[in-house]
Amino acid sequence: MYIPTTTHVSPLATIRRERLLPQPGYVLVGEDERVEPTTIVAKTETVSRHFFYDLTVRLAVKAEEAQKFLRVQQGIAVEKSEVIAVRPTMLGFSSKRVRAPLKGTVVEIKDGKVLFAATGPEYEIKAGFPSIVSSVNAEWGVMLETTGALIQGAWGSGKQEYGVLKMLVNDPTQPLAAELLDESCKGAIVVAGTADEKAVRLAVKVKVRGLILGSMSASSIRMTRTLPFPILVVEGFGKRIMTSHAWTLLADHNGREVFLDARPPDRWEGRRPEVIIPLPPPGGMPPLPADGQPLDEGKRVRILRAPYTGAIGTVLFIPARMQTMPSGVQTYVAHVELEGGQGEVVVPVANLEIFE
Amino acid sequence: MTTAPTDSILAADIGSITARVALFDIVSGEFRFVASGEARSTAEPPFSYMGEGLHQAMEHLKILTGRTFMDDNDRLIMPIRMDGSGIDAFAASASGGKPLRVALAGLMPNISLASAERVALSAHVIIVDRMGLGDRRKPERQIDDLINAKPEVVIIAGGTDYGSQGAVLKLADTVAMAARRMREGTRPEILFVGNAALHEKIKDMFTGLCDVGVAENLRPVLNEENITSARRQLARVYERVRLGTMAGYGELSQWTTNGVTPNATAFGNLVHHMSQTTDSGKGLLAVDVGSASTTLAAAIGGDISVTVRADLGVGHSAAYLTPSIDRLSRWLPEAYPDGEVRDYIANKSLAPATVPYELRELFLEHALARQCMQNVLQSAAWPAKLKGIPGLLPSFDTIIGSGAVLARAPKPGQAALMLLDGLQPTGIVTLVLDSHSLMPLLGAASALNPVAVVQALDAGALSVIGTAVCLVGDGRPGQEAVRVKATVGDQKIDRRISFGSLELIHLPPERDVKVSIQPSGAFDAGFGRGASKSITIQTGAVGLIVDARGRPIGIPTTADKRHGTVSKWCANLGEYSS
Repeated sequence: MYIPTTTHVSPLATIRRERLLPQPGYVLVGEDERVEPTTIVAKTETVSRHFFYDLTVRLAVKAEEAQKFLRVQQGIAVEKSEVIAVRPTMLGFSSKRVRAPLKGTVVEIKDGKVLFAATGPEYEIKAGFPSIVSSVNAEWGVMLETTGALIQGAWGSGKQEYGVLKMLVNDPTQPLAAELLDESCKGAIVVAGTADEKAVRLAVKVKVRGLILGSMSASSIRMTRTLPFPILVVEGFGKRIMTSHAWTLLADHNGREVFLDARPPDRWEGRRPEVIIPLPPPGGMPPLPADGQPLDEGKRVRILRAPYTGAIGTVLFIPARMQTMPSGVQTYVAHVELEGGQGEVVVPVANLEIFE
Repeated sequence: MTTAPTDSILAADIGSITARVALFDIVSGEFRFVASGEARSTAEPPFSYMGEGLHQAMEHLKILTGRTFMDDNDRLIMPIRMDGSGIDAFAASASGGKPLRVALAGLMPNISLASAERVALSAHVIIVDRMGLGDRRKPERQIDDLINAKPEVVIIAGGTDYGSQGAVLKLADTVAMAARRMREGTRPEILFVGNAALHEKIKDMFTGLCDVGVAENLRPVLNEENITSARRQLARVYERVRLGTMAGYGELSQWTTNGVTPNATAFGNLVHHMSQTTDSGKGLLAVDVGSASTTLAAAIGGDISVTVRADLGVGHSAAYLTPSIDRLSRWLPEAYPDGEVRDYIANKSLAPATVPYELRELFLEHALARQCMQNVLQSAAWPAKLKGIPGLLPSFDTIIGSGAVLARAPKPGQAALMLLDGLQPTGIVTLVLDSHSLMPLLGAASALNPVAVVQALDAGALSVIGTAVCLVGDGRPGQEAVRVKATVGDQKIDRRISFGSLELIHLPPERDVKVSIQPSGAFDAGFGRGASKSITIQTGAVGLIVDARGRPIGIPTTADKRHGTVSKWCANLGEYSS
């Protein structure tokens, strides 16, 4: 029994996603509460940086005396420029002072040295998409639930956005062309077959909110880190054409609001970059996407490597013995009937993922 | 160590891609490797439960051997039953999970900090911060950086035993201050490996803040390094902090007599064990090129160094090789369009379990493996007793290659070529392949029954690829570098190998053959420049390899010439064909 990864390109599913803080904080919503994409569901305080002040030097006092010159209590917040410690000099006509460099707190005083923690911006987590809070994990965050279409991708540049989906080209082989990027793309999550760096920079100029591409060159990865918007790559790197299933699903919802989660895949968290298109359920709740299924006859699969990269098909049978590939590698294989009448091919099972 | 009276041993290794089990049993009075079963590892999501993959691997082994290992309640049958089901003992190693995040704090960058780094790199870790006397950061910046690095372990080193204490305590105090600023539950464990006189003071400093473990001082005196105790302690921390928190670990652990050994430790244990049981004048080197990490273990006479690079691998970690693309591309025998190598590496990282279907992709895969080996050598620590030519790989008489990319190479010559290119050994070297991926399993089993492991090795658990004569020296292309003579039965072999070439001399397989190695004056085959010697070599699967490419290997810089040269090497030794 071989258990490959599963990629979901589903027109309708129940989707549950956690929104967790990196450290304990406050959850701002309750169970069963309806939240919008911009609803802040949890937040926590952060420290921007620390400052050390050696009072034995700054105030010219002995370490054991330093405590008595402190003007603030340890652990109590102070404002920027507020005096932390002071020692009168010249019979009280002058003084040596240490002021708070920023808003923050004296967190430690030891051996005449003060450690000051400057308060950083609050770290907030937004819901990202309209949903219901299905459960609350006190101090950490929430589980959100919605129904909708789900398109899992291969790679994401980072960041999340919510915006209107805009199919900019007519078929998945077409690249993002400069002449197509105009004011109508402002604030939209734009879909194209691929994009070179020049087109991506133009997309920055017209202020798109995100890009969904079939593939792009891996040499552009570095550039994407500096972009103000996320890019999601559905198939992978190189010249890979977005599968018609994903393309059609996106096209069917052209003009609808979608959630683009382009955080890079995390194998330990089991997280994939994805597009969620919130949709009302037609009747009862649709099923949750199933992961961890064994590869078996009748399963729909996608081929991950050459020579049939991206092709979709159905497993006909899985021989019990290993076979030798043209590379000379001996491996277990599956016979796959490709969609579109393209015939039967033999593929290493390791090069297949379940596609549903 | 527990030595149990065992007749059959089942050993398991849970990796990031594969869960593997191997059966060792007594055949004709001696332990033998019987068979191994494998399945896709389930240590990571969506399962996040290492037991599932293990059960499937056992099912695979059951199909291969006809033997049942689990009862109806999915419990391991132990000891062996009258009907032949079950086993007598179970050993396990595992490497699943994120690398441990380790920060280093030491005094002198080239002394205690360097030793601490060698300790850290002996386990599956990534080093997230370094703090020392040469540090130009202000103390507050050190605190910020340490907090932001989110270490799970901080190794504090420094000071000779019972020497001065102030600097080490100041360093530890900075770490403690940062730890106090971390939230409870996110604070690191402290591993103190400095001045032995400070053990109690360090424990007091972190009381109620962090768990503290101590090990012997890495530098008991300035010019002596002792990392064995610290390495063991770090392996225990890894087992507890990382493996111990993985679902399925408890079940796996309950079945074993000696606990679950971290994969790199098990690998090192076997190499250590082998170096103690072989009477070798030179050392033993083993390299495991995995999907997520590459491990190098070098040993001589029981003295061992292990280096683990959790950022080097041919699958999950392939993307980290992107900065080495130019060097990696040197190993390709044909031209690849711009961007193809980069795209391949990025895609391989996204789908690490995939295998090359076409020959063109196999070349890329094998180039990745070579570069992993080249890069791990840059961080390698070596046992002090090893000898060699400065700037080159120390002398070893045996090199073992492990990991799927080597073990599953379509031809043994391809594995030999990867080892020669990636490690660039010198002198006379027997090349061995861990073709059944047994090394971590044998390493885990060695703690249980060392005799069984020795017997299984003697019985061929590892396979000899062949022997390589690796010449050091420089010359003109075409100039004779070495003459090799041998007599095998009626066949007389007399070959003159020119500088720059890589030749395979076919000899009857799996034999010991006496050969005469006669290098020209400018070349050294491990006996001194121009010195000749008659030696007995193991022919293994391929025969005698003569590597007269010099060290480091001279690769033409122009693309056409390079492709021609590399493809000749591939053809001569690798037998690549589609």
